[in-house]
Amino acid sequence: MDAYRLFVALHLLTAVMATGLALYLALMPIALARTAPAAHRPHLLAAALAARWPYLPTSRRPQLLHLALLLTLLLPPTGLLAAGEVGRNGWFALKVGLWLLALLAQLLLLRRPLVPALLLPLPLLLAAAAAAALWVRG
Amino acid sequence: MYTAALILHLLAALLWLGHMFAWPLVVGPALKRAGAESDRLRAASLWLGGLGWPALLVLIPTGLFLLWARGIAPTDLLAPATYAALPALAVKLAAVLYMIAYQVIFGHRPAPRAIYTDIAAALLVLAASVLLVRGVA
Repeated sequence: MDAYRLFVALHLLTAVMATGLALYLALMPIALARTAPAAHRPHLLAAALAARWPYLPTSRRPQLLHLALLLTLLLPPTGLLAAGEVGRNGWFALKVGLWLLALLAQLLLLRRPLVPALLLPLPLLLAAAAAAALWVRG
Repeated sequence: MYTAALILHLLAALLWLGHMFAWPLVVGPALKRAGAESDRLRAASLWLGGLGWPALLVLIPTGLFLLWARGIAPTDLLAPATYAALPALAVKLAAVLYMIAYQVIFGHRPAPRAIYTDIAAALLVLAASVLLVRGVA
């Protein structure tokens, strides 16, 4: 596998992980609404987003919310490496726009964990992936 | 039709593999150490169950259609000559068969060690898919 194909695989892997974390953000408010008493939900949701990924030294452990944001931020650089010589068109602009909206929703979450903002990144990232397929196919 | 199948295939794969990678590697370990609410949060995170079977319901027919559109009929998948010409396809299908076997044996029950073999198979599928779609350098 040469560098170009490695970059495509890396971009796909980043997209998989970003989708997985976006799925977590979207799933938790829905799951807590069905499994936890209403009075406990805000506290549990805050704990779910603030849970820290443990496989780093204590002071550097990122919260899941931050990890989701980091993976979203990694999509453009890996995407640029993977793009090769595919020309830019309207689908590319749509893909970038959808990614920007997903990023905006996640930046809003840093200020306040609003349920609508938690639900948005998943459909936006999936729509961006669909736009990417349309872009690559021309 | 080809593009619609491609998008469905891509989205189903992203959701299934995203869930498969994020839960054991990131979400589970983080929630295990989430203090007093750990058990409650882990139970909530597992509320959805697994995505394997619903994803396979989309991935198998769309995958077969995408191959057919590229000139590989389902009957060709029984011929060794197909895999001699496309070794990446052999790797991908072998890994997919392993993932289906994993689904049959474990479903979405906890499998602390076996899950890593499933993740390895998924990585092989990703790599083989890149080689199939982008060609071998």
